[in-house]
Amino acid sequence: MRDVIDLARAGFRHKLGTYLVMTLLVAVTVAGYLAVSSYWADAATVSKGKAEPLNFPYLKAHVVHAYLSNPPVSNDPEVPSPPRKFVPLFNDRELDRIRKLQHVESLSVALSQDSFSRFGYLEFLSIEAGNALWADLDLRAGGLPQNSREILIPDTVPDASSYLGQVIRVRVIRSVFPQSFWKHSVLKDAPDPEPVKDLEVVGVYHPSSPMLSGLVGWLEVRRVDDYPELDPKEVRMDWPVPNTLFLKLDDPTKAHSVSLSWRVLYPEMPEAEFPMNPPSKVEWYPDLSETMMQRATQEVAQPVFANTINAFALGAIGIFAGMFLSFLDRRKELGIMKTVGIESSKIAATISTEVVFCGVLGTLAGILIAEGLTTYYITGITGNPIVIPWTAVVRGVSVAALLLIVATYIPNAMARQGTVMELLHGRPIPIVRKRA
Amino acid sequence: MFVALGLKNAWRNRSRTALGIISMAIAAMIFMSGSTLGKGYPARAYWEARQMVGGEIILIPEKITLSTDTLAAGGYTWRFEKRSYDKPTLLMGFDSTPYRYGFMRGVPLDGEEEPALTRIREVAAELRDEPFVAGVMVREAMPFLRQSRQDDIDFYEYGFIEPRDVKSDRERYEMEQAVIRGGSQDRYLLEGDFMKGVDCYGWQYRVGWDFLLPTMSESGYDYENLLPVRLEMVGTVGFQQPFAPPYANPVVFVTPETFGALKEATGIPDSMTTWGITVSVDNMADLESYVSYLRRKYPDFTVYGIPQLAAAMANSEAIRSGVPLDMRRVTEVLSFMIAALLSATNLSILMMARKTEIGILRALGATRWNITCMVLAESVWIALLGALIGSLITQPAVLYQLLSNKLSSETVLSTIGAEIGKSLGFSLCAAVVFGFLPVAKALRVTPAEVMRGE
Repeated sequence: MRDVIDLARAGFRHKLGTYLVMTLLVAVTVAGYLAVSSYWADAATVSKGKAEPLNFPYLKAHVVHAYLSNPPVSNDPEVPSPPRKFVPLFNDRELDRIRKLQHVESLSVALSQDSFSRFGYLEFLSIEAGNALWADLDLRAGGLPQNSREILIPDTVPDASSYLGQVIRVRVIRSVFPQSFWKHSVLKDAPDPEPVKDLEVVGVYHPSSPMLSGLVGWLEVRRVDDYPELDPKEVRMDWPVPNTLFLKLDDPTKAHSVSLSWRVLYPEMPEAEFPMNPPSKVEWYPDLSETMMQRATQEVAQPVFANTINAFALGAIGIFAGMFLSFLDRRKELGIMKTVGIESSKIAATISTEVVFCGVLGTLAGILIAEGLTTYYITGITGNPIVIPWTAVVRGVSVAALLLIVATYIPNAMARQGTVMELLHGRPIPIVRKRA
Repeated sequence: MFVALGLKNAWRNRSRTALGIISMAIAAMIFMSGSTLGKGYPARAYWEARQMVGGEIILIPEKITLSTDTLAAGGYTWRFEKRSYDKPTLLMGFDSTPYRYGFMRGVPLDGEEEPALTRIREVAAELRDEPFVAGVMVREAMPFLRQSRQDDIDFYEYGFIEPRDVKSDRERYEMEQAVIRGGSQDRYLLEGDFMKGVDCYGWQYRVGWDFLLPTMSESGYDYENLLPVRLEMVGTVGFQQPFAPPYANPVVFVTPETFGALKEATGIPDSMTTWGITVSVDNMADLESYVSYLRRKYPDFTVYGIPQLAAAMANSEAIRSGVPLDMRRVTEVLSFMIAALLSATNLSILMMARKTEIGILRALGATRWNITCMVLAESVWIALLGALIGSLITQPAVLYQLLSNKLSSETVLSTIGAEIGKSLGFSLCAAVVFGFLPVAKALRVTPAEVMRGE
């Protein structure tokens, strides 16, 4: 090993110019990568910081009223598939399974409809009686609805309190857009038999979040025991059909983990196609605003990412060029080494050591250059100082290592494969040699 | 003589020369794509989407996309909202996410939003003076409900009414051709048509003739006191693009006269119905440049080009909420640098193989300058030839894009000439700058070294 290091050191001294260029290329590439990624990490933080929090410690999900529950289907075509069995979601046992997920404090069932009234368009959310969501409504005047003819209105309506005791006419529509999640074709939505409703305003509440800001009504508790028919042509639930679940979380930051647990809860659905999450749903998370802003920042930054990759390609070509030329210059030297009995693997190790030395030196220099750039020259998008995250450093080092391996593969292979005669007489060397 | 020798050398090592030429040609193709093709589209591109919108660029007076400028300038808090059906726009047909799920909207930090209508009219007036603008229309829409019955159950459907610039629709967007034939209602609107409408094929339901329009109350639209209105439907338009879902909205197009009468009957003011501006341009070949320009000029507006909307629809995804940075120039320079680096590597290897030849030339009296000329001639020759081939390969697409937009022959020639010139210039610079690496190698060779067989 000591010999290898000595030889590498001598080689490095001999081709100092070439290796200096390579080191610089690695340094500049790593520095560029670190500076760009830190700049965009900073932009993402800024954009997340500017997002108004939802102030809603719930995981809200639009769901279907039943799901397909089949045992795993065999890959063997000889084994017949079991008949399709549908399980009602609005069933105490099923709802309890979801309620018992870790970090879920309570579960509320609701029906969301698009409604049009004298207050314009508003979401009309009917919540099941006795559900925990009622307790979180910030009631400002009047009381809570006690039956399906009563509603609360938000205090965003001008002079809202003046409507207390008045009856307003609400029209609900069929969904304007097809549902945005996959739904089995046998699941049928029973239409609202009463598209025009005369409802009495019994209270005014203050919406604390855009997630719950429309009309709030009372929903009769309905449960379906079972759908006993196998391979049914239609799975229907009598009106009213709830379509929304609110899971109150003891820790809103765990919303994504709850969502994952919810998916894992239904492992018996192997044939369900993505994006059918069991039960099929569309979710709103408490950190939705921040996530959407971060996604927008990523979209802004995508071309920078593409160009960083281009810069890496440029670096790789440069390193390859340097290494290849260095190899060609040293063919005779390598040939003599082989003549005196040094093993091919040791020669390859010598070249690798030289490259590793360049890589380590270049990466360290790159990190220092990036630190210097971000400390003295580049400020964040809003003028804040940029901090290079350690994850970016790890990624930068990994990419630099990969780049060096790729760029030095051919010279390394040629040094290993080349025979003494080929090296000494400058004959072509195959990268892969067929051994007899 | 040494220049000729350089060219001869290039010919003698055809495989390596070809590699250099190909890499430079690819760089030139990337350059031409970015600088010419990337600016716009052929004249009939995204035709169906443009027909449906009646314009090529849409400006909406609110902040719903994020750009570097927005991030840098700040001044907004971003709020998650669900778009209200009280504010229908034609964007609904391209991306329904804001209506069914929600979107982020920038709210000024000082809380003061300029009245949208005033600002829209101001910007529309400014846009009419822009040289590239062929038409500007302030867009309005009014929601309606429609009562239907199916399986003995009554239900309501939602839709909206849009006034159209009938002259522009007929002449510029050939809307008559979009009319679906076969029924008794088989024409598009005519100028001056009153209380007549055209509906849009491809939505999940067809709108009929009877509409329930909201009236006005102190809190906005009042759907409790609806105004029944009957419009005579004279036709149905369909915007079906090949191998893709149709562009559609739950919309009824009417003439501005009809729309004015409906507003008067319901008492709905302009401030409630106006939602944005659409711009028509004659030259689609520069559409992306116009969109970028308008984004910079009106940072308080969200500016969409039709291709962006059509892409969202085609991919069944939300319209991008971030405006990607324009890095075309950087990509172009990087591609030339990669190509030049490849070429320099090739030449360096060649120089080593020709060590003896260079030594003999030096022994015969060739100066350093002669050797430099020989190496650079080879490098420049490879670069120029590659750039020319790359530029020529892209020319059919560039020519089609420019000529389809009926640009004058002078404009076409000057655009093509300028872009090819830039491409050749870039490649020349790259060849000279990166050619110095092989030159330096060649100049280090001395006759004595060669004689000694080193």
